[in-house]
Amino acid sequence: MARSGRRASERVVTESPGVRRLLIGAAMVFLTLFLFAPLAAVFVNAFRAGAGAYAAAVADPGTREAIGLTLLVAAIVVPLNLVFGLAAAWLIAKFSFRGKGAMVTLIDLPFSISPVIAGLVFVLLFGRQGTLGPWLLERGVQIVFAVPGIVLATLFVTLPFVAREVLAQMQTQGSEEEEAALTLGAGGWRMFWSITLPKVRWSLLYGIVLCNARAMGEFGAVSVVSGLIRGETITVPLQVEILYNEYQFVAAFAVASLLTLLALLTLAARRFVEARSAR
Amino acid sequence: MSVVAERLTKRFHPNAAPAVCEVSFEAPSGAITALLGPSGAGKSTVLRLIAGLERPDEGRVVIDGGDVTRRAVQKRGVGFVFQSYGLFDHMSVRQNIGFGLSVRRIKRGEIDQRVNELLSLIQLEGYGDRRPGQLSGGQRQRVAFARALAVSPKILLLDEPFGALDAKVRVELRDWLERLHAETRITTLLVTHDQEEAFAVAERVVIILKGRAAQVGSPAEVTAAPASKPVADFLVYARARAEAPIGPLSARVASGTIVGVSRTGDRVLVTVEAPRRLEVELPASRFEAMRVGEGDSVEVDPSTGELSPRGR
Repeated sequence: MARSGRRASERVVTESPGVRRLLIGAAMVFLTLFLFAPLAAVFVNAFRAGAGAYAAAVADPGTREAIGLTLLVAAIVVPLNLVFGLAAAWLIAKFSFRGKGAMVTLIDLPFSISPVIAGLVFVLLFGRQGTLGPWLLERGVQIVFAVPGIVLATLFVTLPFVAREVLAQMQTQGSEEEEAALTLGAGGWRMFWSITLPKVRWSLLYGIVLCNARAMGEFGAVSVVSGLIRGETITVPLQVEILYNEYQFVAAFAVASLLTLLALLTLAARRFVEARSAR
Repeated sequence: MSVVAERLTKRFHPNAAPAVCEVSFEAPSGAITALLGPSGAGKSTVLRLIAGLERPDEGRVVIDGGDVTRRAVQKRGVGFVFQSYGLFDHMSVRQNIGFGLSVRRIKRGEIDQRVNELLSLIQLEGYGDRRPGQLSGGQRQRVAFARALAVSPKILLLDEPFGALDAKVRVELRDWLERLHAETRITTLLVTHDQEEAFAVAERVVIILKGRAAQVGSPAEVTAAPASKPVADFLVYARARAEAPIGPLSARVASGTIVGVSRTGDRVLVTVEAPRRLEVELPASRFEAMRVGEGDSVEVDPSTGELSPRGR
């Protein structure tokens, strides 16, 4: 497949070497300016004052608390969206029902809406002046400007990742293997664990990786519901902004480098998953 | 273990014409019954209704005298073979064949023993640890047969089982199915659009046109006296297609006898009477490796000029 693709592309290339070099050069300049340079800048700035300053910035109590909260949020959000995404994809791929088209579209809503609006929705719902907020506050449940709000906003923003990836794979695979399992006597549960889940394992893993990256990196929605309470509602991206606004550039870039590393790890994981699933 | 379909009707959309409309027939115990019809006629849907993979809107399915219309697919005792195999790609061949047994919580040792028996039945001993993706189409379909047979089904349902295979393998596997059926005598329903295939293996043929059972009878009865003009038209059409291959897609393997071999340098020109004369040119080394000569029976694919020995 790959070989025939390459042959085909060689045949259609008609530009002269000069034009080709120009195009490749332009692409390289663009990538350098907008991708490699910013990436390098993060690490250069993070280590400008030496490894000691870097370590001190990462070990700072505020930063450590932010890392802790970010890990906590991801630990809640990723499993929930994993279960929800699998269930939604299963429902859409295997059954036909009224409103299915609307459901497919709605799953994408968090991607099409601005993250700030996503955060604002929860303030309007659960805030002091919100629809449900006062009733909950009377019972001592604080959502907005507290950890539950951050979890909810992150849940909302990262909802489509697993569902979309798994749904796409389920739809291309069809149901023949599942039907075979049924005729062999397997019940629904056994079929799901033995057949359906292994069949979508790579798209599922991919969805989890992307969902996790976004859950840890989300800024917009979280900043609206956070209220920026030190030591309580600061996640890693918010911590970067706070440090930067306080002119602690080295510390800001040091913390930012953690998120950048996460992004690079995510890309590596993505490459790995794609290579494995292509086999 | 006979199968009876009684006025089976299935609609997929409330406003559209039913995919299957009042289909009734009996598949006698121990025989192969073919559901024959053009693509889109609803024959696969009839098979899926009998398996329990779809629920009929009206009508009954009776297996071995018992009404199973409301019974779940798992409890109908049917083995199902799909056109595109439906093998579990993430499992080994052994695990595929043993799946139905492990669902039934049968002991590991017994499963291994049964899987070994089935591997030898499908002539794939030594392939047990491979993945389905490492097998050829014909081998995969044999694994699918073994998997369906592992749970000792009362009825074998085959949905275009040879449809995804090339012509040569299709004929081989069809012969294999006939031998298998002669041994097991398991009641079998075969869905096919290929008239030659249906008439070659089935004792009884149900012709399905536009969702209805247009005629039921033995191959001889159906050919001798088509019940209606559409049936006659379909049979003629299907036969015409079988006899006049147009291009590689509908090409058929011809069996014949070698009547002449002439060698020039490292090439060999083989003349085959099949019964019309076909000439095939191939490298001498390949021809010698086949260990055939004048008078031996071979198979020729007229579209590719591929020659292969027969009856091994």
